[in-house]
Amino acid sequence: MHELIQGLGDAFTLTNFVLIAAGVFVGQIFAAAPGVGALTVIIIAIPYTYYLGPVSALGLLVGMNKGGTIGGAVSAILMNTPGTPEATATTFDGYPMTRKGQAFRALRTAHLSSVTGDTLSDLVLFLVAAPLSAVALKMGPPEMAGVILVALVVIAGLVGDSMIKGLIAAFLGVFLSLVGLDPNTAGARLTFGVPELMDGFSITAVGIGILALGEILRQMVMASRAPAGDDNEPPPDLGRDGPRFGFADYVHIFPTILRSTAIGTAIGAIPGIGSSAAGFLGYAAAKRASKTPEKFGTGEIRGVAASEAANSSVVGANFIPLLSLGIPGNVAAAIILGAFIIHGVTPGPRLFAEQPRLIYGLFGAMLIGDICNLVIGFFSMGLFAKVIRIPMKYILPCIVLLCVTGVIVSDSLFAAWLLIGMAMLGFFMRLLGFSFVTFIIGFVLGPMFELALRQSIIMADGRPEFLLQRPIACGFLVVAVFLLIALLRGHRRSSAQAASGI
Amino acid sequence: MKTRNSEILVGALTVLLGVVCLTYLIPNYISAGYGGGLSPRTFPYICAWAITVLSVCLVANRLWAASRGGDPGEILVNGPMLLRVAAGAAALVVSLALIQYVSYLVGGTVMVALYMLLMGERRPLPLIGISVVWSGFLWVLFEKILETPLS
Repeated sequence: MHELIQGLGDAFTLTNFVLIAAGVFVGQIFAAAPGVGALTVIIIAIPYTYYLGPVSALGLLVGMNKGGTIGGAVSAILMNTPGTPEATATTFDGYPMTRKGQAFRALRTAHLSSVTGDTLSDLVLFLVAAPLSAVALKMGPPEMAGVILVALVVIAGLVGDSMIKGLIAAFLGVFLSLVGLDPNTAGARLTFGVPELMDGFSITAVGIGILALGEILRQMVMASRAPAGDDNEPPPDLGRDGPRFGFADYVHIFPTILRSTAIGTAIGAIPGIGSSAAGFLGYAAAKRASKTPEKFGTGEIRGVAASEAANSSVVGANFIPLLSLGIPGNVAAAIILGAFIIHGVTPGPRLFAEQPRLIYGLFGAMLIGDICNLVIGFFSMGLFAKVIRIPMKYILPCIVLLCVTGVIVSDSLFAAWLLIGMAMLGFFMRLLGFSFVTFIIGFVLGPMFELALRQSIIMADGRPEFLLQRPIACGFLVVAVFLLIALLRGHRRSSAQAASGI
Repeated sequence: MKTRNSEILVGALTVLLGVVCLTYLIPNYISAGYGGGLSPRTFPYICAWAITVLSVCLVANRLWAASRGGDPGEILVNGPMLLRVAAGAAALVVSLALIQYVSYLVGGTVMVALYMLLMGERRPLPLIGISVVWSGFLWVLFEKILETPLS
């Protein structure tokens, strides 16, 4: 209880309120601009958090992540172009509402559904993470190695369209994470005599290169293919004169929000599935449960609520495996895991026992983020309609310099040179369908997996029967093999169906 | 180049990468350790073997699909696209060299201007205005206010 009060005291300061509010606002703006996304701004912001304490830094990043849940819906509703992939299902009813002159009502529905779903999933996180970590604390290195193996198989199998390519990306990420000094013998691994490589590749250089610059290169290439837009085109009509979102509307959509939140929270707690799938599943569940499913797709308010509540509730739930096991649920959580490590904090089961004050501070920051998301969203929707009209040819070049500056500030000029290779790698991974999500998660989990495996081998002391004495670790190995076979068969079946045009 | 052909080519390249790692990079650039515990080479070997075997599977899978004559997929890679990506990378190289050997202000300004040019902006006022103002803002913020060197 003492730690809870201390942690919340650390979070509820004026500085943190300002930082988290700024994070939410920036996250909303970046997610509103199609193709940029909150993920880009989170990875760019990490180097700049060096100037902050752990709670403030993590609060800022979590605020950006939360802001992104609202922003992505703006262009989905106003332009039929999702700002982030997870808002795709929002276009199904959001854009028809805009065409009916109900854009403002749709935006408010998305805003309140997102905030409700996100807040409820945060509450689930607060309730579940501590007991789960207490269970996880009883697990030794063999069990942790098993959990990481299962997570890598699930992520490689569920993200992207090819399991083989997913696994190649994951192993490439793990391989890259091994560059530097060996943790046991301090022997150099693939440093080629370059002193700057002794510490390995930094998560900021790899993350910014693969996620942000790789995406910017892709946008640059795509911009040359797309027809030139008219810079003077008027902003979309917000429909402020149309029907307003009222309390009756909220009561009407509340059961849909609850259903979607349950779906999103369950999906978020499983590593690898992600917000996009949650949005689609939430939407499909709402349609199935409706007495008037024919209204979905024609501007049904519950369609917007279902998609937004589901994709936003993934954000809080993604922290369940991160905080209790140290395993990121998606790429945003992997990036935030990187931020934890940069600030000297190692997420995992021991965190609750060793640094409860920090955890409760983070929970407090998440609650502030929810409040800021609610309040700022009431004022920012009109602004977003203008933001999404700013041409990418002005935004992206400024982001490129921001990325490079961030890496120079947090790391070195040498790391900025590494960005070029990472950007190219990120671009070609996107182009050829290799999941950059599994690559980044492999990069983050690689050292943890190696450590757990090394410790397990030392514990086994050359006795293979040691594994039989660890039934939970054996169970995870069996689950990993079973999932690998099941996911491979699933991919083969869907490929065969696609080939035969079913 | 069509999707399937691109994947065969990329699969072949990753097989090559795996073989180079297994036969040259790991034996020559990773120490063998001191004999106790797990060798520093073990984990890199596991990864390199996994990448090689999976890449062989990818190539075999796509060749098998090609032999059955299915849809080879849409065009993924073409010359103009590669030229634009190369131009993007070259812009980064030039501006980073300027940051390293001249100054952050010059390199940053050139970086923003080059990317605006690559994205189709041709008007001199936005080109010069945005690139100078943005790099100047970041320079003042870090070099002067936060006293963090940028080059």
